[in-house]
Amino acid sequence: MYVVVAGCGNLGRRLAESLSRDGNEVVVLDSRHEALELLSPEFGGFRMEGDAGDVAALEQAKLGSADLAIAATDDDNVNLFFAQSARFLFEVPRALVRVHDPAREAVFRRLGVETVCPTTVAADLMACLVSKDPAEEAKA
Amino acid sequence: MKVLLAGASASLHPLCASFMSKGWDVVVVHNDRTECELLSRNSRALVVCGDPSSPEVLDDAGIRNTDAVLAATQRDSTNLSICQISASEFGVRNTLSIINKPGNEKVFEKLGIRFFSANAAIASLIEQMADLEEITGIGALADGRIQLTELRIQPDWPCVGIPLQSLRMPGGSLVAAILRSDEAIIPSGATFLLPGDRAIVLATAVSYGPALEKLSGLDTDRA
Repeated sequence: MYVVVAGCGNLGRRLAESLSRDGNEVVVLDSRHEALELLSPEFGGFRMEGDAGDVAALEQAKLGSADLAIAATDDDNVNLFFAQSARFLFEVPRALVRVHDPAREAVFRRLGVETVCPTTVAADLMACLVSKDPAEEAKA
Repeated sequence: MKVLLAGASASLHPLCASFMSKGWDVVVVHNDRTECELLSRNSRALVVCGDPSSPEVLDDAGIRNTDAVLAATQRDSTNLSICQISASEFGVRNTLSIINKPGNEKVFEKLGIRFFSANAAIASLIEQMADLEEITGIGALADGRIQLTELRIQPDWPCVGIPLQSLRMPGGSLVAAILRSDEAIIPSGATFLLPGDRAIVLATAVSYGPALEKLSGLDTDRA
């Protein structure tokens, strides 16, 4: 698969590294040069300095050839812009979006965007762990 | 007509004044506190301080009964969010976005969001929203405090045939010149307007609406 990842923060970097390790062709896009330098030396994909909220940069990243677009910047608006560009302008078959603000997740979903909100995921998981009594778990 | 202006640079002040001069209700949402304080001191617009791309903030700003939203932040991605959220969550039919970076219009086009390129478009936007085809905005002077407008005088307008001195133009406005066929006239009090004339009107932002109403008899608030 050819994957374009927007945002090289903690999430984007991990994703890019693991997708690349799994044999995918990966381009990571971030406007911060220093963020791209944090990618591990084993990362076999491309690093591109550019703004995910700028169509010119997306063209340069050859988003039109991508099988998958992942929006993982720290700005929900940039993530939406990237995903909507991928879906409607570059006709990428699938776009995944990280959403910071849980209130916005439902809104993005109603716009037809496939979302993952780390806050919601972590909260659900923790609530789930809390509801289970560790002593009971140990007995089982 | 109620308009919500979401974020903007220094261009916001004259834009705001232009809208208000038409008698429209204007709500400004801006995330910068200093900008908000300046605005609420200098205009009668309702100012809401907060992130204009946040659904909660937009809801608090009364977006549910807003006729038009103008997304005018300096980030195209933020503007896209504002327009999509306004339309899909709150049913606002008339959304407009300023495009800051050339090339980004393609996405807005695909998503069916109306847009204008920044700067030059702002002046024409005001007139397009007014939807009065007899009126052409020539431009704004002194940071938008003075509006320069060209009006094509229609036969049924109340100003036709009345000497300008008897017409009593609202204070802060002036028929500065008349273009009649090939002739350019600088009018005196005795001059009167004829159908087909092009009248150049100079008005302060506040007097702009009343001046247009005086000449055309049209309610500039009708849009």
